Amino acid sequence: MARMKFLCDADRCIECNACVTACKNEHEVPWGINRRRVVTINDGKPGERSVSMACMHCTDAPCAAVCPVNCFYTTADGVVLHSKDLCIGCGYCFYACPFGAPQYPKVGNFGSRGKMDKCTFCAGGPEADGSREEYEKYGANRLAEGKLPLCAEMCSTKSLLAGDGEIIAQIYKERVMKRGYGSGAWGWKTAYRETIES
Amino acid sequence: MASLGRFIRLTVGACAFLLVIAASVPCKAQQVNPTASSVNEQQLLQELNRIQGRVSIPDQRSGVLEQPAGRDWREFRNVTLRWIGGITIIGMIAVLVIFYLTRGMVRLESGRSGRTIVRFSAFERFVHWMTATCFIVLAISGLNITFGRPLLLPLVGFEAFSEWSQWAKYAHNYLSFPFTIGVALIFLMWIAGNIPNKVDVDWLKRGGGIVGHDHPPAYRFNAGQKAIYWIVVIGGGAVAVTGYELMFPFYLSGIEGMQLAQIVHSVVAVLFIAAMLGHIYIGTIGMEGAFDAMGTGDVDLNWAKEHHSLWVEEEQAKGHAPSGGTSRPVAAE
Amino acid sequence: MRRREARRDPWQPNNSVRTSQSGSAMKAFVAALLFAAIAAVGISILLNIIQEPSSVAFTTGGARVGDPGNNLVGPNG
Ligand code: HEM
Ligand code: SF4
Ligand code: SF4
Repeated sequence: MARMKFLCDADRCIECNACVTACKNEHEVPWGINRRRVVTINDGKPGERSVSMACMHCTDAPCAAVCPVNCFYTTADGVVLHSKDLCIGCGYCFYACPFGAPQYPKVGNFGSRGKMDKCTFCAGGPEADGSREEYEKYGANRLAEGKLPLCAEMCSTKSLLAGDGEIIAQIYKERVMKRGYGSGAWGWKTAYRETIES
Repeated sequence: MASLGRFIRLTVGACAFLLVIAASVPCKAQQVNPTASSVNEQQLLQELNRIQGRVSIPDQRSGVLEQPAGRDWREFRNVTLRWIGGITIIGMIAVLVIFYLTRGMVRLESGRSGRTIVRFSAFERFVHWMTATCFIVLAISGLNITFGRPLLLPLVGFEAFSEWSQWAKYAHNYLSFPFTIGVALIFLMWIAGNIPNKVDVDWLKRGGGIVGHDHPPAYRFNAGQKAIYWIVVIGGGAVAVTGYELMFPFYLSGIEGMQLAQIVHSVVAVLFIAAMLGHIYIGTIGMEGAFDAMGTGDVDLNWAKEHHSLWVEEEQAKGHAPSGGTSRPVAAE
Repeated sequence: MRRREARRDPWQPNNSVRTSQSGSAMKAFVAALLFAAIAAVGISILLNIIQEPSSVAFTTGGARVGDPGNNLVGPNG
């Protein structure tokens, strides 16, 4: 089975936010919830870089480890998903997540943050694949249809790569070799405990 | 012809010159490594252990791109905290059981006199029990967050555990308010009797009323009770401040502040729970006659004399206590 | 503040000194439970009134958000 991963080639990302828009549209993500975002580092200075970031679907995921009600599970593809029926909205996964992925319907805790929402790698949730309930709670399930996450599919510069970790790592390695430089696979070391040598 | 030759030579020379310049430009461009000045992930992480940037969405928290510190926090919460909590709480229970088995209930040496003295007014008892019941609910619902997943979830299953945890969380969050009011009232109500003084030193040296075997003099609160008072005031204050920081996330601090708040909250909470187990023990099965103080509010005069001799004298001087005979068949004092 | 009986003449017989309280032990306890429950329910109502959905908190003035809908966030999100 493939081990699904995301990779953002920061040397290509132009902060066009198409990935964010694609995600918003595909899953009907409401205002205020940002499953994917683009962060620009050293904005306006020489050497600035933009990185598109969502849930990285970590190996040995920290969110899953700290969740007090154990509502996360990892699919056979290595995608980290959770059950909104079990989540109690405590906010702990946000503190543990290295990438700020978990989102909440309400800003204050006040005992009622609502159910956590995050990127599903376009793989839905525990409900039946492609069902209405699944869509309403977790968004579209493109993986079940044999498609990859829409954010990466829509990326105009093909900076954002999504898919089998080994294949996208290979694509990135070849790019770096051809053009002679690369600022690295952002977040890989933290998320997957490995990085791409090039 | 000579002029033509000169013209050609000049043109060729100029072209060659231009070529050299033109050639040098792409050549230079090839030498520039576009990543040479670019930000580098590992370097940024080494500087701050965090990578932060600008985002174009209003949720500014999302500007934190990476915070590997979440991994350390996870280690604390899942491993360190469970060890600290398990050792202090189970350790305390073990100490109390051993203590009870060896020492038993500390009896009233002179028996009950049948006459009482007012120790705590109805309002004081109201505040005490309000704080105490809130504390017990907060402790159980808090420990559920820490230990529920390994201990309770396998027994009751996912759905039932989530349902219970949801309600426990509501109870924890909302009962924190009466609890905080209670701690504030305790602080104001009993501060006068809880300033440490010289009598406490002697009381501690003699092992107080529960460890030692005599009855060192004490005012209204002895050194042990003063310690409990300050644990409640300081510990209660600390869990309240950090608890509200957790309850109103990101109002006061960023992600690192939230992690710190959880660490302080949970460590103080488990120590607090261990201390309160000791307090509950002494107030109930540890010492005869002690429960009355918070039960009816009236304690037996002999109990008061054994444990709070100086306080009884004060009360007698104020006319708040029977000044005359006691159970001891001694004449006037 | 604790309310105590007014000062008494120390020479008076002991039985006139207030050495016990009339109310039962349970009264203060039940009152404590009641107060805690009412305070908790009250604060929960108050906090839920001032609670902001993310669709309001993370929207700038320029955006015209009508009904953000309940997809992904559920009916009371
Ligand atoms: C005084 C006001 C208090 C407030 C505002 C408060 C608030 C909180 C909050 C917001 C959490 C995070 C989990 C959740 O959202 O439910 C929490 C966790 C916790 N609280 Fe409190 N709390 C308070 C008092 C206490 C007290 C008195 C105790 C102990 C007796 C306690 C023990 C705990 C424990 C053990 C945890 C779980 C820590 C963990 O495993 O991560 N809390 N509290
Ligand atoms: S990126 Fe965050 S939410 Fe996603 S798997 Fe890792 S820790 Fe969990
Ligand atoms: S917010 Fe939900 S998913 Fe996240 S740790 Fe808490 S219960 Fe688990």
